[in-house]
Amino acid sequence: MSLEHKINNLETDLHIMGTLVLESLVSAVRALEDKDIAKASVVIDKDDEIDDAYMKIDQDWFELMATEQPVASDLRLSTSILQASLHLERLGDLSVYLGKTTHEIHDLPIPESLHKIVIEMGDMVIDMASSALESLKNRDAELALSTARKDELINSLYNKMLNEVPNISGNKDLYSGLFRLITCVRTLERGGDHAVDICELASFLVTGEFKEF
Amino acid sequence: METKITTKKELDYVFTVRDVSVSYGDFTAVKNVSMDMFKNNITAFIGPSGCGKSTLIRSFNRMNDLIPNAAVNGEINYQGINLYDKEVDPVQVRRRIGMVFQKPNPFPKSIRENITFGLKVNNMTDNLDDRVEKALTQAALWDEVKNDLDKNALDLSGGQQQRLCIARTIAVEPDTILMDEPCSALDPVATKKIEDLMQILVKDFSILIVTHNMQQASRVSNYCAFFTTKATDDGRRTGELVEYSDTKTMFTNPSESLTEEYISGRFG
Repeated sequence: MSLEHKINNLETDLHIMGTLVLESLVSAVRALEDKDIAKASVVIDKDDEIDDAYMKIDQDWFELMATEQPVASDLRLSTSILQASLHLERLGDLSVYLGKTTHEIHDLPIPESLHKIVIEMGDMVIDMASSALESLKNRDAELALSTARKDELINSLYNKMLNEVPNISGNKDLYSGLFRLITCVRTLERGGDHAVDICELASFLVTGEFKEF
Repeated sequence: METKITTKKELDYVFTVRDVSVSYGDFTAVKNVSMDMFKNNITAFIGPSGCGKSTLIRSFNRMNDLIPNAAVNGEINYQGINLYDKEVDPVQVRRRIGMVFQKPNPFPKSIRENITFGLKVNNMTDNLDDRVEKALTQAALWDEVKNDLDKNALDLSGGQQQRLCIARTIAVEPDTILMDEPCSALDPVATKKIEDLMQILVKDFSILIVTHNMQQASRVSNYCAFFTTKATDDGRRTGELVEYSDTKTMFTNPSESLTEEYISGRFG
């Protein structure tokens, strides 16, 4: 198999993994929104598939480096695929975290306004991850940049959440749910960062220069 | 030449090449090359066969003078001196700019005599034993041959012979070493020794290496020049410099598509 063919396969594997991760994120956010523990359990169980996809890319990349020693655009692409797969794996872990949170909060009273913010952030992470993968696939540096800029909205939602917390008063159960939502938004905020990192890789593939957004 | 060169020691460039073309009779092997090569660095020349890289490197110590009909046009400045100036002595040029060839070519004499031959030619006959030991040590060969200095050099392995040729080159205290595919006749173990040696030698010498092995160019060099051949109007092919940059850029983000195709193995 030619080097070109091997790298094409590596990229195809990445986008298959990307589809798995996006599906997992969508299910995790909907499960959290609806407090649907059955759906959340499916998300948790399906993470092994994502981990396997990551391991395959990791192993194939390793073999490619050992046997083909790619250079120039081949090197940039194959290394970017590996790095993107790591970010996708972390986004998969984010889905698992949201799934576990759904299990923890489904029978707890939680402030509706904060629940809404969490879901809004979750939808934004889905949107960013989806656009980041599209920019990578289409070598679209403009889409990568505009997607990365959306991270500011996630950060402002995160701050909005933290600002609202002191206004909440309630019993022990409410605080227990509140605490879980706060850790959840912190994880979602990290999810936005992973999407931004994928955007940086997309831009790197186009320009050949690595630039932090 | 020597006095002038000594006063130019502070220059950053070992060679400044301006619009250089090298021809054999009416055939132009390589044309219009302009580039500056840094002192105490390893510069690699890569490119397909016939692109003129060996022709060019041979013009850097006037080896082409020995070939009938060979002509060098343009300017090759070595530490500020035009190498092809009428007053420049080619023998002195070759003492200051040594050369190591593709095939190890020791003299059919003892190891010691391989080193002392050039020293005697250049009247560097004081402390001969010390000079022999220093040259062989610098070439990372001393420990292997110190008890066999009178052994015939042709009895050494290919890798040892090539290091002896390097020792022979550096014994006459050059500033620069030109290497024309120095490892292409060697196995990977001997190649590794030469490559490791280059990293030590570059502290004291400027090194130019022609290599067909792109991994070798990417491993050993700090700067890299890619040459290719282009068809001329008369149907022949002439070598041209396509891209010259630091090695990291050349192998991660070359600016020319021809370079990209060649180093990725898609061309040539």
